[in-house]
Amino acid sequence: MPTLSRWFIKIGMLYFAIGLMMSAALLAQPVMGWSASLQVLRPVYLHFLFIGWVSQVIMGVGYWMFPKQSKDNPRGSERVGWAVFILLNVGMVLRAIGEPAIILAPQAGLGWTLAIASLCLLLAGWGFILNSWGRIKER
Amino acid sequence: MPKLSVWFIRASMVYMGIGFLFGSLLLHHKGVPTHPWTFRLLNPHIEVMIFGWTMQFVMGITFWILPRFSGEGRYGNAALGWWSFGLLNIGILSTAFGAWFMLDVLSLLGRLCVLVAVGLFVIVMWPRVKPLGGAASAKSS
Repeated sequence: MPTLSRWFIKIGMLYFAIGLMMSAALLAQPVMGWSASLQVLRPVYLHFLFIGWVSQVIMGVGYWMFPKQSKDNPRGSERVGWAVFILLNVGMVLRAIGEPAIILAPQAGLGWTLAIASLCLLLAGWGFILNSWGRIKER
Repeated sequence: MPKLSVWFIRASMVYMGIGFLFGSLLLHHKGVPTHPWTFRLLNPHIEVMIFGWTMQFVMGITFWILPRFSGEGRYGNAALGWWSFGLLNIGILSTAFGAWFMLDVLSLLGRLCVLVAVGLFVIVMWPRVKPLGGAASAKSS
């Protein structure tokens, strides 16, 4: 398995675990009488599971298992692959900070973190598509 | 990779690109508000990401990877698979547009198309969920 795939999958599993912890905390909140402000984690948890885990593990396994593009260039651009990995995870971390922050501390002016996160995630998604498109082919 | 899987997976990637674009616009709007209509992209974003990207991707990989039959038609009833692909995508687009423009009947019709598409896909794939080794193994399972 290529190094990049191992990073995608291992980091993906961290998002899976952390996302489920958040989910448990959200369900525990009314039962335990914790602060309702904990519910600001809802969009973060959904995206940890769906983008951080599911989409990221697809990217990792896809980079490893999709049909080879050519003998000279079997997996597309490795550099683009790493850029996708970094952009995706920078975007996810920024949104994990920014989404609760704009509700809990609107005076802090952290809306820019979400603007940067949105650009990082968009570039990551489109980068993966561009880098994988040529490998989705009949053998 | 069979042609049907190529189409399923490439279509799923197109939806992924659209889903990431909608999501990016929504996230940007949350942090730095742009246009109020941006929030109308939320339901199409969810539809496209769940059904268009993930589910369709899994269907494409499944059609490619599950055990095959020997000889002709080794992927099973591919014609039915193409119907499934067509209906799935008509359904996803209808549901997403219905959600975007608040046309509930269009969304419902879209979801029914997706339901039929998934039913056809199950019919195609069911016999391929079998031990490796072709028809003989399939009979013994």
